[in-house]
Amino acid sequence: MKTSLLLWGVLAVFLGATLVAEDDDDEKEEHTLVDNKCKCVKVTSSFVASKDNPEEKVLERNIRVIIPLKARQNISDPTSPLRTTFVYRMTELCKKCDPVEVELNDRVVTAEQSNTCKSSDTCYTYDRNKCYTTTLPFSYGGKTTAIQAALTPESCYPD
Amino acid sequence: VSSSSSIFGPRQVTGLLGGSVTVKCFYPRTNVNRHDRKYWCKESTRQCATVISSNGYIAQDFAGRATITDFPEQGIFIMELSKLGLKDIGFYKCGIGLNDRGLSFEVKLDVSQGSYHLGASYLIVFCNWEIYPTDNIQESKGIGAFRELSAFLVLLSWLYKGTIKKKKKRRCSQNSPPVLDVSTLLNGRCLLSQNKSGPKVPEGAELYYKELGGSVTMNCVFGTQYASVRKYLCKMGKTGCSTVIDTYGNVNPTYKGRALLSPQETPGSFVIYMTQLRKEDSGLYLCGVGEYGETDKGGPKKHMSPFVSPETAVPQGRHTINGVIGGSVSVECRYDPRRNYTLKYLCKWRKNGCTQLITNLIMMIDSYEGRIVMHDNPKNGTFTIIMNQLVAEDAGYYWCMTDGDVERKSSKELKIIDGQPGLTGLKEVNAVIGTRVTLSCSYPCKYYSYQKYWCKWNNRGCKPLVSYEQNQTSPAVNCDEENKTLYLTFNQVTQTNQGWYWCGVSHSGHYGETMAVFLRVNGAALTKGTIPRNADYEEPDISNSGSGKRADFPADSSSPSSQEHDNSKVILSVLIPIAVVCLLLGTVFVVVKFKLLKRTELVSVGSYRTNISMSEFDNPRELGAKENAGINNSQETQIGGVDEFVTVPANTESAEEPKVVKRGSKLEQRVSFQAHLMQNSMGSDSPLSKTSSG
Repeated sequence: MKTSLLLWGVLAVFLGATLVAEDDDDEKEEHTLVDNKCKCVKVTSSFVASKDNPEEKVLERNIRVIIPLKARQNISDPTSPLRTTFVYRMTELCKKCDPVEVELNDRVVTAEQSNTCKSSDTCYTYDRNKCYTTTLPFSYGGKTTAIQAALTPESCYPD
Repeated sequence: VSSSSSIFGPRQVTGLLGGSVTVKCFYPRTNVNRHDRKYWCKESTRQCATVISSNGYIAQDFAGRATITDFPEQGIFIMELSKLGLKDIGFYKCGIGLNDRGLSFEVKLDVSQGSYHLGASYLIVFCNWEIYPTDNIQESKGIGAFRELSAFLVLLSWLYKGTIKKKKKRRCSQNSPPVLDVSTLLNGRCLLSQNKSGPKVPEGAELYYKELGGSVTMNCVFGTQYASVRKYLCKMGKTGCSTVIDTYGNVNPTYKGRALLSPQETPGSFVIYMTQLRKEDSGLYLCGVGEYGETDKGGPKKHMSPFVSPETAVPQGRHTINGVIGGSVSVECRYDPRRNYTLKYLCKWRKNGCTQLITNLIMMIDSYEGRIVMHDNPKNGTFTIIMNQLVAEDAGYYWCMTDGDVERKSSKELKIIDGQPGLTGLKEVNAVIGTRVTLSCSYPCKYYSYQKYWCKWNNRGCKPLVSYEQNQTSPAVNCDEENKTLYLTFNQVTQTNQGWYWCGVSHSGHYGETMAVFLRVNGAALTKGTIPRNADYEEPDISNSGSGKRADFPADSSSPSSQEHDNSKVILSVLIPIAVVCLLLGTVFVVVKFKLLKRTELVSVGSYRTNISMSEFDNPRELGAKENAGINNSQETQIGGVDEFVTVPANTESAEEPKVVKRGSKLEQRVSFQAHLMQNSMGSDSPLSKTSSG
């Protein structure tokens, strides 16, 4: 009885340790620096215990890049060839180009926070909140017309 | 380690063997999410295999047992799994889109045996487990591993069909057993509450899924016996439960201005509003009465777990608004334009609640009379509150509230800073009934391109005033662009015109600065110009004299000074006739006086020495200027009295009897009689005919 309990206890401790590790991660506060839906890059930073000195906290930056290997060179044109080159520039990704509301002497003005913000950017993957369409030749009854088809149907519903 | 996604659900669910379990997962209500595929999949080493999806697929193992229902308007989808078996235990994911793309939430499904009470789906009923003290709700201080160990042992307990469990069961069957909330175990907390009165099973943590920047309302209902006890909301952390806000006025600095505790109608119940939600606000909250840690009061607690989704953020507008003393601020509050709210209002945050200042129906507090106005724009989903004549005590937190269930409550902080108001002008104007009054409001250059307006304030709003061209009684609004002053003119002010008038600017639908002027109308107007009236003008009636002092007061001086002109015209038109009359009277008087003087003198002389008097009469020039020099001797003009006279010819040699001239006065009669006598006695051609002059 006692040995069985002991064995169970050991197993429990072992499994508990893994659960503890899970638990701690939920407490970590992550600050998002970049969330680029166009190139699918997410950069977050958080304070973690230093590997050298567990008492100390160091700033750790996590960069997550998901590369869409089956994407086309032009995501709005499914007939274009497959993309084989993916370029990620941290300086460009880290630019804050989304317009922000800034208060100037009791007037609210929308402005971009960085200069040289390129409005057009080649996207490697679809942004879920945007609707992408393409024109297709559609033959029916011997007649061929060009119609618009949705590439991301869920995003293309009217509000 | 999976990165956090915006899908939220329960971390663990437990069902009875053979029973059923319900899992509710929340998602941000974006357009994409509402239309995208919802799924429930079971995790394995290689992939997450779909159990059921909103596209109609059901895995064979779950056929006939599982349902999935989407509620896109609410942003939730619910899965139900019935006829639970032991092989259903495992890790699942509820999510949107494609299975392994990460837009999901992991849920642990557990199936337990035995006849346990079940409250919510993730409760395990347990009782008298020795590790946890049963009387208080202090966290058992232990290392993480120990906590997890005990949690795991609890979970293992059903595996171990030993005598321990059965013993516990026996002890628990009589009264309602204490309940253990397993979801909180994984957070590192363990809470026990003991029911003493009846089978009241406390609920598990209520899940709130809120947008970043949005707001949440948490209802806490306790018995009426707790009416006068301290009520609080605290947030669970590693070191216990730290107070967020309570009825004693304590507020955690991170929540200052963002949290509001407000009592409900039934005593003992209260509601907590939290706004401008940040990601750090996610977590487990407890609302309770008394002190945290007491349970002898039957210490009911309520666990709340708001999750702030970063994906959809509510546009809030500015949170801090700066105003200057004497100036004005406008607060814009937003709400969902698609919904119909009956009541919208602004309230000022105080320690014991939020005092309503103004609602969309009426202004509430008298001390704000003339100072506050609400404009509602249901199309945009904004209502704007404008407050002017600011004082230092106006600083603080204000809440925009609506009575709907979808919360868009927001709080703004009003700060009073140094500076001068942009719109300037007289704040108080006195006027007399029937006169012409002009209110003026000067604006700086920055409002040059704004729309400017005047409106009349009442406690239901501020009615914009339109300019009339011909109408004399209504006020006229005109803008003098060059000199940057806006005027409001009343041609003939009446008693009903008394009240507050606001001059304001607005730009592309947003209301800007305002300035309030109080027009006081005094009665009893005097129409003729007399001195007391002038004095009335000179003193507090600054509108006239004050206007002249300002430099930018233009060529339009005619308007205020026209009043003076009017008055002087009246005066002149009255004085001149009087003066003329007086002068005429005066001259008449003088003439009469002179003539009479001369007359009496001569008559008296004439009674003694006739000759002299006769010769005197010879020369009319000696008698005075009024005597017409060129007149014929034969013609006499009688002054005074109505006389009928007949001209006596100059050469009246043959006039033996001069014609009798009727006299009006006795003196003249005497004179004529004497003349008559003379004539008769002398009988010669003598200037007797002249004697009739008098």
